[in-house]
Parts: sequence; structure tokens; C-alpha cells
Amino acid sequence: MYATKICNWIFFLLAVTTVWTSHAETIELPEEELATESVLPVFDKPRGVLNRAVITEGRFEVGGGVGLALNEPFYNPMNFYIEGSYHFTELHGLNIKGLFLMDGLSDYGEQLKTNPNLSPKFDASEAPQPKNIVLASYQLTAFYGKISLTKKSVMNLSLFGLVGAGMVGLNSGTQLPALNVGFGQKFYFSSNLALRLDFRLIGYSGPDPTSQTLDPSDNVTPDEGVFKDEIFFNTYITTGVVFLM
Amino acid sequence: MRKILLGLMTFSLLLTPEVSTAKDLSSTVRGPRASDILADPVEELNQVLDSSYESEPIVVAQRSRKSNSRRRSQGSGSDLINALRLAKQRQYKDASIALFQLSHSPRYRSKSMQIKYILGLMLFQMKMNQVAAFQFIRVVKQGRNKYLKQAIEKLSLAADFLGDDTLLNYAISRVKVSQFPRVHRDMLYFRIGEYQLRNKAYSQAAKSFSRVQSNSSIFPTAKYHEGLAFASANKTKSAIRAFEELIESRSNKGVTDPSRVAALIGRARAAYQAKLWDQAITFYREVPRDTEMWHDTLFESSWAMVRSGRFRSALSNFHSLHSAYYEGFYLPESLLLRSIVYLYICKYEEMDKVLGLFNKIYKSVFVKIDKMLDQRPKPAVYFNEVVRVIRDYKLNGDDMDKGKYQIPFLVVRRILQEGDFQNSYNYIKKLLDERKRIQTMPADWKSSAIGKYSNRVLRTRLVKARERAGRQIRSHLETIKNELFDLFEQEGFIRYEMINGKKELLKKKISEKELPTEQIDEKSSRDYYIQNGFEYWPFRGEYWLDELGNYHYVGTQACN
Repeated sequence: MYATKICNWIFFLLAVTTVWTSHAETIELPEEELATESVLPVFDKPRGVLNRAVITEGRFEVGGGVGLALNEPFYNPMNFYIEGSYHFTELHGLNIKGLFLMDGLSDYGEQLKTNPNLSPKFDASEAPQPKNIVLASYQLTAFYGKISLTKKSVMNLSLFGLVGAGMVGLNSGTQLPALNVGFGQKFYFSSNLALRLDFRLIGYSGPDPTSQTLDPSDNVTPDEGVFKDEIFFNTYITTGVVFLM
Repeated sequence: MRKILLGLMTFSLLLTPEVSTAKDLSSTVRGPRASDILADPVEELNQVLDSSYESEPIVVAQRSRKSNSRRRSQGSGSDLINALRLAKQRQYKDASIALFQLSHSPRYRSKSMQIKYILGLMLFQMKMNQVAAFQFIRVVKQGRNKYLKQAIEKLSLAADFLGDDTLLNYAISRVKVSQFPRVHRDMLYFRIGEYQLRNKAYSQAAKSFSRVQSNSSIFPTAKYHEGLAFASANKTKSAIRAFEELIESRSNKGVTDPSRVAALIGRARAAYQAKLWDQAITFYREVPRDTEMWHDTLFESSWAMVRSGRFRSALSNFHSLHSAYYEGFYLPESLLLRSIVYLYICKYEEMDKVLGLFNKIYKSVFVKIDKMLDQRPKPAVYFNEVVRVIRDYKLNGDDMDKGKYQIPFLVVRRILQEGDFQNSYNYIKKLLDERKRIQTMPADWKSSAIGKYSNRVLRTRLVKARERAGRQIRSHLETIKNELFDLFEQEGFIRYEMINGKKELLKKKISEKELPTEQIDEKSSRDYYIQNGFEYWPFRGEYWLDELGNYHYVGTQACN
């Protein structure tokens, strides 16, 4: 619920900022002066953009937002996160991200636990489950461009790829090593403020809840050690706001 | 107000438009372009730079050559027959060794022209054009011999390949077109035309160029030069016609065909020269954006726009031209022209900024050039400095420290566009190629008299060519210095006019005089309009390559 509110707030912010930047002049130009070619001018050292509106080199970036685990069957897929990045150059950077996963079960997890027609029932909350994920990733900004969303204004965007490692923290306190790979996009409202969307695949080896029966009627929480290890590949999509400092 | 406008017209005319005549784009059509030079491999540039420091003892080498030739010339009488047999068998390497020895033998003095001519042919076949040319020159210089005609022909071909004007002029001065083989006659007409053009015999030059057959590989270049010759003779209609013929002949070669594009810009320049401003603007717009020459149209068409009173359009062009993409380009006049347009529309603040920018950039350029010229270095120093800039640019691109050179970067870029320097630079490259070819020859050839002689010839030619290129650079620096001096003077006038304009404006404000309602450029409506699928948005300070040339100034004039 809380996460949904944050999401709404972010989209509101995006809409409002877009309106703020939508102040294009309306112009009438002689027909012959309008562009007739879509080819690029030739330079001996061609550069796509100069005097960039958004300069990231040597700057820190902080932000936060909400996310969703796309393939989480048992637990609440919602999460919120904070992150920080440092851009060594316009291309290369380091990103550190902390994901805090929401308590509770997913709709399916809840059904498995409480559905009266199901026997035996399955209470995934009795198994050790990820509570937080901390990842350090190398970030390669492969593309910096612009996009016209409203036909009257233009906003900058960048596309990046990520690869890195980190730790998945379970509610039992156990820390498990994890690897992640992903990509994302930033839409800049100004030279310092952007909406950031990330998609990540996080892989780790952890306790498999389905390796035990976990019947809630047993009233016994199994020890973490009894669960078999399984390799998980979870996909997370996150969206939030970042500030360049 | 009328007085001010008249004054402004005077000042705009003070600036001599660079496009008043069609330019010599010969290098654009055939030779290397500035961008080509900047795109040379770094190794090659290093070679150009390093080898200029070589100075081997030429006198010693000459002595050894003489003693060698003397020793070896004491061979049997069948030496010449053997050498000719080798030549017939296309054993150029061995034939050249033998022939060179025989050419210095007193026993074959009566046949020395034949030997030298055949030696030249051998070297020509081995693609040693410079060394070959020297053999042909000897035959030509001697005069009365039956190899004269062939030697002139071959000399012309070697000189054409090398792009060496001196050799070409020499060959042309001796040649009769009717005696020249038909197969190479187009080249000869073209070279004669070039010679006439250089000597300002424009009508004759146009005639010579027009004699080049349309199926010849040099037809596009010749046709372009024909247009150029007409334009130089102020026959703008004929010039436009010649350029249009070239455009037509290249219609199936693609939009960006260099010859076609050169003709397009030539036609626009000719129209400008004929003061057909609107037509010139239209012609300039036909130059494709994805070509090297398009950059020139930005500035040149701005002149046409100013002349036809299209200030808004001119300012649109200036926005592209004064973007970060052109920081390394030498464009002082465009800044002054922009300030004049601002003066016309009473945008004094912008005008002040533009004049400030002009001073900021070009004062330091002027000071550097002045300092270098004052030091009076040897010509080779100028050349080495330019090559150093080219090499560093190639290595580091725009990240290079552009301030550390004795010749400012943007001036170097300008010099690279000059036809005479391009020709010299190209010639040096050809000599270096030839020297490389010699270095890859077998050891016995290299250590032979002809090998040593060839090396010596090339070394000397390289030194001389570098010196000539250096002198050309110095001459261009002097021209630029004088040009900047004039422009600074004009900047002073323009600034005075700006202050005067401000004063007049204040006076009017104070007296609350009734002002005319219709203003310059006021007819342009700025209502909502988005056409042809393109989208427009306000400029926010970021320059994009795909937006270059598509900026539109939408401000209004501020004259009250």
C-alpha cells in the first residue's frame, strides 16, 4: 500500500515536471527553411552532443524509489530501495543499491497458507526469506539521448547496463552472496533530477521453502539448516527518483 | 533612423564577403581535403615529422656515387645490349642498376639520352615517379634528341601522379598538344588549363578545361575548373551553366558525390557573385548536409541572407555556426556579421556578447601568429608545427590541449583547407611513399648506385618540399594576421555603431518620440506551426549533431 503511494507520487512528479518543461514556442517558418534531410553533418571527429545539459562525470547520484519482484511466488513482491552512484566518466560508473523487501506473503502465498480447500497447507513465511539485498554494480552508460514526449518539449534520457555482486540478507540474519546483471533508463526532468527505471536479474543460492512441507497446523518453525539450498534467479524492476549532486 | 541604416549598410559592406567569387575547390574535387589530412594514419604523420630532422651528408654520398660509376663504367661493350635485354624482359630492378651505371659511362655518351630515357621508364614502372621524372627531365633539358617527345609525355604523367606543379609547368612549357599521345591529351589540357588559371588567363583556361572529353576520368574536375575560370572572369552565367552541366553529368553518381557537391556549391557561389541572393540561398540549400562542404554553406548562405535582408534566417544559421561544433574552426568574419545583424535589429546586448566573443577568441590568435612570425623561424619549423598539431589531433581528438601550439589549432585547420598547402602536403606524402618503396627493395638494389642516388634524390626533394610547405604556411599566417588586423578595425567601427545605436535609443525614449509601427523582419509571423513531420522545441543550450543546421531564430527585432 505504502509502495503504491510512492509509485503514484513519482508518476505525479513526472507529470508535473513534464508540464513545467512544456513551454515550447510556437513558430511559423518559411517552408524552404524547414529540414529536408535526416542525415548528419560530417565532422572529422563526430560527436553526438556537445554542451550536454546533463553532465554526470565526476558527480554523485543519490536516489530512492519502489520496486517489484516479477517472479516472486510466495512473498510480498513489493520493495523499496535507496541507491547511490558515482560517475567516473560519462560512460563508466559505480552503483550501490540497497533493496528492502516488504514483509508478508504474496497473494499466492496467502492462498497457499489459508485456502480451506487446500491440504496440506503451505506457510512460506515459516521459511527463511530475503529481507534485504545490497548490490554493488559497475554501470556503463551506453546511450545519452533526448526524447520528445509532449511534442512541445524534449527531455534527456540515458540507457545503461549493470553488472555486479552483493549480498542477500535473510530474515534469519544470514547473508548470502549474490550476483546481478541488469539494465535501466533515466529520464531527466532537469540537469539534476531524473526518473530512474531499473531491471535486474539477481541470482543467489539460498534455502528453498518448498523443500519442507511448512504446514501452518504443525505450529513448528523449522530450523534454517533443514532447508535444501536452491539457486534462485529473481527479477526485480524498480523505479524511483535520482538527484545528481 | 534612416541615417543609422545607411551607416549600417556601409559597415556591412566593409566586411568583405569571402564568397564574392567562386572558390578554387580543386583540392576538394581531386586532391586531399582538410579532413583527409586529419584522417591520415598517425604513423604516417610521425614519419612526416621525424624524417624532417634527418640530414645525412649528401656530399659524401655524391662522391661515392661518382667513384662507383667511374669504376663500373669500365665494362665490356655488350653492357648496353645486356641492359636493354633486361629491360625488355621486364627485369626492371636489374635493368635500372645496369642502365644507371651506363648512363654515367663516357663510353656511352652518344647514347646517354636513350639510356636515361629507358632508365626513366624502368623507374616509372617501379612506381618511383620522382626519380623517374629526374631522368626524363635530363632528356628534355638536353633538347635535340629523338626521345624528347616521349620523355615530355612521361614526365607529364609522373608529375601528374606526384602533383608536383613545378615539374608539370616545366613539362607543359615544352610540350605541343598535337604531338602528345591522344590517350593522355585530356590530362594535358587540364594541366594547361590549371596553369592558365593560375596565371589569370581565365578565358583561355576555361577553353582548355572545356577540351577535356566527357568520358575522361578528370572530366568532373575539368568541368568544375571551367566554371571556376568563368567565375574568376566574372562571367557568372557561363559559370552557372558549367556547374549545372557538371551536376547533370553526375546525376547518377549519388547525392553526395564530391564532384556533384562541388558543382552545387560552385553554382551557389556564382549566383552570389552575380548578386542573385535568393537564387544563391536556394542553391546553397541544395548542398547535402552529410558532406564536408556543407559547413561552408552555413556561413556563405548567411552572407546571402544578410544581403537579401533575411536577418532571422541568417541568425538561424549563426546559431549552428557558432555552436560548440565549430569551436575549432576559424570563423572570425561570421562573428562580426552576426553582430551586424544584431545591430540591424537593435539587439545590443547580444551584439556586445558576440563582439566580446570575437575579441576573446581572435585576439589571442592574432597575438600568437604575430609572435611566431616575429621569431622568423625557418620554414621547416612552420611545417613541423602544423604536422605536430595534425598528429596530436589524430591521437587525442578534441581532448588535446589546443593551447600549447605556436600556431593556434583553428588556424592550422584553416591552413589545411588551403589548396596550395594541400598540394604540397600530398606531394610530401607521395615522396614518402616512394621512399618507403625504395626501403622495401632488395639489398643489392639499395646498395647499388641507382639505389643510393634514388635515396639522395628523395631526401633532397623531401627537404625542399617541406621548406616549400613551410613557406606556404608562413604566407598564410601573414595573410591571416593581416585579415585579423582588418577585422579588428572593423570590430571597432561596429562597436562604435552599437554605442551610437544605444544612444539614439535612449534619446528617443527620453523624448518619447512617436515611433514607426512597422519594423524590420516584422512580417514574419510566429504563430503556431509544425510542418513536415518535424518537431520543434526551445533551445536549452545543448547542441546535437542531428539538430545542426535546423535551428531557427524566433526572436523579434527590438528597434522602437
